[in-house]
Amino acid sequence: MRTPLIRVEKIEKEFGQGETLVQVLKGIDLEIYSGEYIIFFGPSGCGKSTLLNCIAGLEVPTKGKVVVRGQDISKLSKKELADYRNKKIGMIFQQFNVLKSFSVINNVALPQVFAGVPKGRRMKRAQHLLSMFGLEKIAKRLPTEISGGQQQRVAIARSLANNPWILIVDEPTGNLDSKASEEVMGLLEQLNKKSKRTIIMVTHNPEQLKYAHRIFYLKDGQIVKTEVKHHVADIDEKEIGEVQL
Amino acid sequence: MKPIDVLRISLSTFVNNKMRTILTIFGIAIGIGAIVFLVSFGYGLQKITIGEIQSIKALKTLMVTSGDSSILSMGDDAVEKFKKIEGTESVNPNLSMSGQVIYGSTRTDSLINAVSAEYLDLEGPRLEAGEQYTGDSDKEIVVTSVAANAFGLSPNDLVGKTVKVAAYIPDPENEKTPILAEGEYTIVGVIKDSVASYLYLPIGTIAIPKNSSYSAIKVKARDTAVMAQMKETLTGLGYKTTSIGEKIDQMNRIFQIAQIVLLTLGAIALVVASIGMFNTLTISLLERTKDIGVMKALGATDKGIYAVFLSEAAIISFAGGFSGIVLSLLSGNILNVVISAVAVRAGGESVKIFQTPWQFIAIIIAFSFIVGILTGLYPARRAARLNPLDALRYE
Repeated sequence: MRTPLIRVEKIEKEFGQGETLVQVLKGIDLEIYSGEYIIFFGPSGCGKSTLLNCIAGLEVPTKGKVVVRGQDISKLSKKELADYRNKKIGMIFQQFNVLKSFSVINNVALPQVFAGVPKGRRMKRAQHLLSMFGLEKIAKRLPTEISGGQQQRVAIARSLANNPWILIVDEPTGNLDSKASEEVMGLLEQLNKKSKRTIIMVTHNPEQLKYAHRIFYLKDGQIVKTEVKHHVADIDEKEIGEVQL
Repeated sequence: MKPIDVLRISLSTFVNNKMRTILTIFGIAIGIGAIVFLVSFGYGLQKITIGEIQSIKALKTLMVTSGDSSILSMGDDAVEKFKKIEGTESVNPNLSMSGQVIYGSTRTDSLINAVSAEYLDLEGPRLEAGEQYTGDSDKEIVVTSVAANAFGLSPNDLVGKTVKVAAYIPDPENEKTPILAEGEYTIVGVIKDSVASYLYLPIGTIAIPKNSSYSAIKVKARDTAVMAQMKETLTGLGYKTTSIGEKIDQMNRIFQIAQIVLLTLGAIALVVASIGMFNTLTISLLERTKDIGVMKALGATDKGIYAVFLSEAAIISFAGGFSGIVLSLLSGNILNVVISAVAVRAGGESVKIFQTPWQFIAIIIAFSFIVGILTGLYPARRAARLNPLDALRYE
């Protein structure tokens, strides 16, 4: 039997207290395997983003645990969590979240700055990533000088800086037109298929469900349905892991 | 995160907010500059005033007068009495009188001080040309630049000229009519003083009437340690004494007060500037809340964020402190040049009103750095403690 890459065990998340207490996650159990493309799908306020943030180590669950490769991340210190976010996962946001005071290439190199990688090496890595996504021509530009689609591609390149095996993607096309959306979804699909990265994505766009191996439908903080589109059984365990892009 | 990268991230913020950064640095520069400028002014004034009179010889001298008393003797008997006081090295009287200096057909009024060469040396006049006389009976005098002006000669040309001196020596027997004494003297030195007309003449070259009363007597001590005792003895006899050392102490005290006042004014400017810097850092923090969230989501540690903000504060304060010092030194030196030029043109001498000791500059650089760090601590801590998710949602 395969061991799951990520195991979410009975997590609950509450916000506020007393009369304003809101239970956003009500005991979620799931397992994600290496190389899978997972989508959390559901209406606004169903808790899908909170679940994603718990896996990303940005949110600490009130109860339960998130185990990534055998390690319970809710037990990590703040510094260890920062390191986890830095090296083990790559994050892609709806609002791109590229830093406006940094050029494109410096944005891509940023995670390696936090990892303490020397300048020469990280710029080389950033250059390589930019050329992978056809962004080398805008390397020196500021984010304000490029389109939304380009910004999101920069953000995807950035998420790969430290070569993480998990990509956490929150509504990646929410702020993009349909053409740019397709490009971005295509890139993510390639990252999953060709370089075997595990993708966990939140969306409320039903058209994007086709990309997933498995879909978790959420409602009111609970998983109401799990749909299996394809199996990733054809992925050999040995291939998975630190695949260099 | 490497320190160099912390610096890079801090600097990138400045590039993005050039105007605001420059204004904040300028604010600090004004504060630091004001302190350095004002203290340099106080220090310079003190140096000019006290530096002129600070010679060891002068410090060992007590100036004795009879004060308001009309009974106390200031004659030769007093001189003899002073010589016997424990610790006395020498006693030199000054007989002041009015008189005239005549050169060709021009004559000018002058106060005449008949003093020994030693007295003149202790007085330490600032000579513009020539030198002091060294003998007590040679027919040589030292005049002020007023005489040179009166005779239409430059101080240098005046040296070596022979003039006639008419002195009205006070007669103790007949106070109403002084004794007129005339003689030819060679001018050997010109004192730099274009305001007062006076001259020094060797005391041995005039006949001093019996029972003459001196206007002042300089008593020189063997060393400064015995001065207090000597002063006490003289005061005990009823005389009034003043010494340069005392005057310097008094002046130093006044200058200290002046410097504290100036320093306070500068400090107020710095406090205002620091508040401005605090404000800038806080605005910068609010503006970049989202960026901080992104950085944290990408793996920046709390410590890393803290370091970025603190180094921003340090850079601003250091740049401010440095440019403040440059600004104040520059303006101080420009004013020195301007004031000196004006003074020289008006017949005075060139002066350095603004003087900045390097130790003070070092202290100020360190001080501005500390102020910057202290100002940056709170915003840096706030930035470091931001919850990444809250920060990411911040608009």
